[in-house]
Formats: sequence, structure tokens, C-alpha cells
Amino acid sequence: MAKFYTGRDGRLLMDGSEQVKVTNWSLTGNLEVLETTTLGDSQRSYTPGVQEFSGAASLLYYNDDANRNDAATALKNVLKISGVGINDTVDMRLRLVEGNTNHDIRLTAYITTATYGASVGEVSSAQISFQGTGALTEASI
Amino acid sequence: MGVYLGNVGNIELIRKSLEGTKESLVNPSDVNASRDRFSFDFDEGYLITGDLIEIKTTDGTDLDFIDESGYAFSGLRTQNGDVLITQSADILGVYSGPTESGMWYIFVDELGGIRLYDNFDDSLEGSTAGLIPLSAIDRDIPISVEVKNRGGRLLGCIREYEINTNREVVDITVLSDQHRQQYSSLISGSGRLVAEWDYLKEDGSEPVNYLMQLVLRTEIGSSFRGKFYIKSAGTSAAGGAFSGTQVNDSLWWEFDAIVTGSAVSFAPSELIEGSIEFVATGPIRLKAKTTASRRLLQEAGDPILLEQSGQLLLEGDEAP
Repeated sequence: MAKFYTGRDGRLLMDGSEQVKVTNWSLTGNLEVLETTTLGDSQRSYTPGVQEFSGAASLLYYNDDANRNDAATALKNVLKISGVGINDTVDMRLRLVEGNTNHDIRLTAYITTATYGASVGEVSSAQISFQGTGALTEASI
Repeated sequence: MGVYLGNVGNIELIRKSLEGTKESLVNPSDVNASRDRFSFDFDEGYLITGDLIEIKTTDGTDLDFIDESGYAFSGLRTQNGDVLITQSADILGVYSGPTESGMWYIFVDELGGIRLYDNFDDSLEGSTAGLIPLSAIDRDIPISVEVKNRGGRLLGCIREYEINTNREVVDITVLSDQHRQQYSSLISGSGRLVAEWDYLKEDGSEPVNYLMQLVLRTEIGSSFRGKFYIKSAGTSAAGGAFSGTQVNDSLWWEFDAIVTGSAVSFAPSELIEGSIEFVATGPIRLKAKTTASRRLLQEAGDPILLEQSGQLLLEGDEAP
């Protein structure tokens, strides 16, 4: 069945837990290409190099009734006293839902940027950027 | 349900300044004791005739250029509490000043000269009645001047006014939501009033010309406090359900506001009208004052009835 996907179909999961109050996420895949053009060639030619994945998401700074705050949890991956260690990765799953079918991109990532603040007349939110490490672990889009 | 017309509303204006004090210097040449007027360095429009200002010295000395009769007077009393009087029946007493500060109403003339008065009405007239005498000085006196709040006065000749309150909302719709969600945010208010233009007071009322002067006041801002009555005390509904106990009820919006614009329209054979636009600053309150009637009761708790079948009320209450 023909279908457009919108924000209504979007989900974001971190370490297996679906995040609440997410207003957007985005993912960028990038492939470095190595030039193999040589003398005598009329067209440039390339060979694939290293891949990388990065993305960003925005979460409203929101405490639910159980005092769970997904934005704060995400921020703590960067805003922490003890410094970030090699094991401070998160399992990110960027999902579009179609009925009972999930279209997922899954990767292991470091949260590289965390921004949050308060503005007059606006809801406080946290913006995070993440950098994938290693290959995608799932790509069912 | 009662039927209310616009004539049960009015506007009460409280002159005030939200932007603090101004400091300046009164030189001996600034004081004209023979004409009871003085001046100090201030931009035109900083002070408006009818303002209640507090003058205070900033070096702790007294305001010598204001005559002692400009300060509070208290009569001397005997041990029995009787007031002492002279043979010519004048009260024997002393003035509390000069001191380092005081509050007076002002009249500002066309040259920027200031005259001090002990009451609002005389200050608008600029006449000799109620005028505080001044004394010559031989030194510079550093002063700070602040426009003070004072009791509200009805704004005269209002033809119409409108007030808009607006609640902003923030979109908190998130991924997977099926419907937009909004969160309550800031509230703001603005309004507009139209009045027949006048520059002199009616009894006890403030002329609309004051608001037109206010918008030009640059140094300490164009703020005022307004009470915009939906129903003022002593008014009745034009029809429908309305009881006598409601006569003294009053409901009003109250907020601080800043005048943002003024306009005057001139057309042949039409009244000159001034229109004022303003925005609210700070909280906007919708207040109500409803006076319950207090009946005189018997020991048994029943109201005392009059022969004409009415209930006897305490003094000051309205008949039902």
C-alpha cells in the first residue's frame, strides 16, 4: 500500500528503550572515496574508502510521572563529571513504523554534542549529536 | 441575565513611573524665589504637570530652597491634648521641614520651570492657590527626582476602549503523536482607547492629554497603571436580571501599561478625539469587588423587617 512517512511514524530508541518526547531525529551516512584516476584517464575514478554515520536528535526536557527524563539521560552521556570512557557508547535505533513492521537503522554511537537551555516563551529541550562507531548493526529500511 | 451597556465602564488612571529616578543639581540661579519657581537639568517632557514627585538630596543636606511651609505642619498641644492657639485664633505649631526629602505635585510651565503644590487640582491650574513658596539658596544642591505613584483618577471623556489579552502557546508535538499538542506559555495584553480631547481636568478626573504627553516622555518611560472597569460601582444593568445589591459591584482589569502610540484626529465640525494605544507590562488581573448586604438580625437570627416589608440593613448597605 502506498504510504508517506511522517513524524507520526518516527521513533527513537536508545539502549533498547523508546525515548519519549522526541521532536526530531536525523541520520547522515557518509562514504569517503579514494581517487584512483591515473595519467591517461579521461574521467576521474574512485574506490570506496571508509564509511561513517552520524546524526542528531532533539528531545523535550520532560519528567514523566515516574521521574524519568530521557533528555537528561542522553545529556549525561556528555555532561558528566568522570569523563567519557571507551565503553560510553549507546545503542541507537532510528525507526520508522509501518503497522507491525519496523524500519530500523541501528548503530553503536558516541554522543558527541549535547546542548540544552531555557528560552522565554519556549519549552526547554536537549539537542544531541551522535557519531557512529563501527558498521551499522541493522539496516531494515 | 443582565443586559449591560458600555456606559457602566470607565478607566481609572494611576500616574507612575517604572523606570526609576533621575539625578541632577539645583544651582542658586535655578531658584527664582520671587516667582516661586525653580528648575534643574532635565529633558523636556521628563516631568508632566500634575505629577507627584519625590525630591531628595543625595548629599544628606536639607532641601533649603523649599520653604518650611511646604512641609507637614503639626500643632503644639498641652498636656491635656488641647491644641494651642494664638490670640488671633491661629494654631500654634511647627513645620517638620526643611528636610532632605519631600513629595509635591508639580506644575511645569512652558519654559521648563517647576512650581510645587500640595494638591493635584491646584498643580494642574498652575495658579497661586496651594503654591509652595521657595527660598533663595547660596549653594548647589544635588537632588534625585522620582515620579511617585498616587491614587487613581478617572480618565475623562472616554468614548470607547478595548483590551485584548493573548495567551501564547508552545508546540510540544513529538514523534509518534497523532494530534498537535500545545503547552501554555506567556500571556500578553494590549489595548486602545478613544477619548474626546481635553487638556484641563474635569472635577477629579485626568485629561486624556496626559496620555498624549506620556508617550513622549523618553527619560523615565511612558508607563502608567490602569484600572479598566467593565462595570464600575454605582451603575446598573440596562435591563434583564439585576438586583439592587449589585449596584455597588465592580469588576475591572488592572495592570501596568506602557503607552506605545497616540493620535489625534481633526475634522471640520467633528469633535477632536485622541486615541491611545498601549501594551501591558507585567501581570494582568481581572478583579471583582462584590459587596454583600449585611442585614440587621434579631437574637433568633431572623432579619429585622420594616413595616414596608423590607429588611433593615446596616448603614452603608444597599436596599435589596
